[in-house]
Amino acid sequence: MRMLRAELLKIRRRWASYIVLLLLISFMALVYVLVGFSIHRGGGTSTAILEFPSTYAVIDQFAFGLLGSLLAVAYAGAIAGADWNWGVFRLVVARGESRGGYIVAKFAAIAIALFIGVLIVFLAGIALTFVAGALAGVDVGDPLSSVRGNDLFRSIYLGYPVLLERAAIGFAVAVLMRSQVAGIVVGIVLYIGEGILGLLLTAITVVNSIDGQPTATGVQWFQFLPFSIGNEVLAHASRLPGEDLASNLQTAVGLETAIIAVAIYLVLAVGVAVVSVERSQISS
Amino acid sequence: MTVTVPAPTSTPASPPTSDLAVAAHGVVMRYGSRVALQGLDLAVPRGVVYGFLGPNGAGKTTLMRILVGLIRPNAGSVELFGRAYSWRDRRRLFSVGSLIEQPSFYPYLSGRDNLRVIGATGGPTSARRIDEVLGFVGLTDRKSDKLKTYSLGMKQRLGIAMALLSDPELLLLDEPANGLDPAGTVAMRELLRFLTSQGKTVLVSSHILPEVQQLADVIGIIDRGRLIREGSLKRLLEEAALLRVRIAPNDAEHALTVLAPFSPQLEAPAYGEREDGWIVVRVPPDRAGEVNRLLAQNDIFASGLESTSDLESVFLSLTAPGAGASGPTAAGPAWVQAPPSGSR
Repeated sequence: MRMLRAELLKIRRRWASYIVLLLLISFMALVYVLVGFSIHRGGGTSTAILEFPSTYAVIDQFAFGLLGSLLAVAYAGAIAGADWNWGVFRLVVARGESRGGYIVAKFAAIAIALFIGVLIVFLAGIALTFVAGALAGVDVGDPLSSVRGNDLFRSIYLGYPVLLERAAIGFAVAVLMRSQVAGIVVGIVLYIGEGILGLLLTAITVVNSIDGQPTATGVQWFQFLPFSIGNEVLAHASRLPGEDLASNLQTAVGLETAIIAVAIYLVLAVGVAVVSVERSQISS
Repeated sequence: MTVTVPAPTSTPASPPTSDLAVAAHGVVMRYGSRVALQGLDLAVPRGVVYGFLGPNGAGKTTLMRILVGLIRPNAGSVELFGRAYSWRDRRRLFSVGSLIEQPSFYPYLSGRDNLRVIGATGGPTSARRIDEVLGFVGLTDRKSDKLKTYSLGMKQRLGIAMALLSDPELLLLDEPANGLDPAGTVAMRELLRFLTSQGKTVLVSSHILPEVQQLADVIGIIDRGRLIREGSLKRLLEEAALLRVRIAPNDAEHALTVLAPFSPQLEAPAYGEREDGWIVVRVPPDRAGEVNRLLAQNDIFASGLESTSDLESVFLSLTAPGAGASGPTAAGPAWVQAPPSGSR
């Protein structure tokens, strides 16, 4: 516990924790304000985005979608890699601390920070919905009605493990590469690379199966790749009308299966980080 | 600087079974094809300051890394406080403090918070102890300032404070005087002296030889991954002592004959230079009178008599290319002698 408290202190005092959150909320604010103005000027934008519960799907996209996931990968990579960059891990080992225990405590602290971050993003999203709704002159409804409340909690309890799994991958990469920058860059490249690979493989599968006629092709192996499987869970958490092409062309992986796969990747990523430090020779 | 060290908060898991705090036996360490340690033997007695000397790349830091479980040797064994130690015995490091290479910190935290987060790892550390070690190194006034505002010397002092956090029985310090101003160096020396007076052991590696000469009780010199000398500093300096006797040109030949029993391989003095006429005799300083008397009895009157003995000249002669067994002294009974086996 004392190690977890120390890790939380480090996270609390680190600017990166606030910059990541600020960046995400700023983008979200920009989108909501622009949508609000657009509707106000009669720009033809759907008002659903500013109404509960459908607005949760938008907040979901910010918290757990591309931007949220990228920031989570980068943030976890930055926190994990810093110990190597500043040589602190060496000091911790020399003090007789358990290498694996230290890594697990560090990830647990990141998990707590991400959970608090998600809650703040959702609260900010709800506030921004009201602001944008007022700008647009739209009645946003009641975010706390029981049915709508369930949508909110469902978004969080399905989305948060996905975010954590993605952060764990960034974390593991940084630990393996013993570098903050490498952890951030490689984590992001993996995330984007897998997205592009998924799209290409989807397109190839569709073309091969029905002569280019877009239709669902059944569950494919690449839907189980580490980042793609998270998208499967998120698709169950909330769905915006007209989501990405790949989602429309693929048969969705069952929610239970997807969650189990996400959990496996999460444990695997942290496990790889632990095993790598347990075995490593720390010569610099 | 007033130093008060409280009773130890952690002790080795079992009572000591040896007078040695650290013992290394035939330790071999390779980094790829490069051999950093080639069968290193070392014996650090308890309760002393052990000066660990060697040229750059000799393997000093490598041994320290092995002692704190950062790396695992390819061969050989290490004992801490008389018991075999392996990198898996991490809890035994609760009684070891270390500052290896440069000190490591979180630059965005204050000095005190750095100690708090590091103190949360390894053996238990109380808040009182954190304030105590900050006092030891004279950083109480700056404890709330962020690390990035610290000077190099202040960071070094905080690194020493970190090493002292667990009130260790054994302190491993790699170049601890780096960046310290003269007052800081003196304070560090006093602190280390105080720690040894409390029965603690300090293994200190340094390139600042005059500093080590003032600080260490026992010296170990390594070169190319092997120990070439180990023993008490006093004994080493005595054995390495030189007496320079200045003789007039017409007495030189006779003087060489008279002094031959003291030092069998005397060289004839050079003349015609500014510092001319000196014969170098290898005898301890306390035998200078004896040498002078013998010369006088033979009607040779020295115009100058100088005794020199410093660690720097000893170190340089031992670690110079081709040195080793042919160094300034023959190994006496208290010394371990392991001449280097050729080039790396």
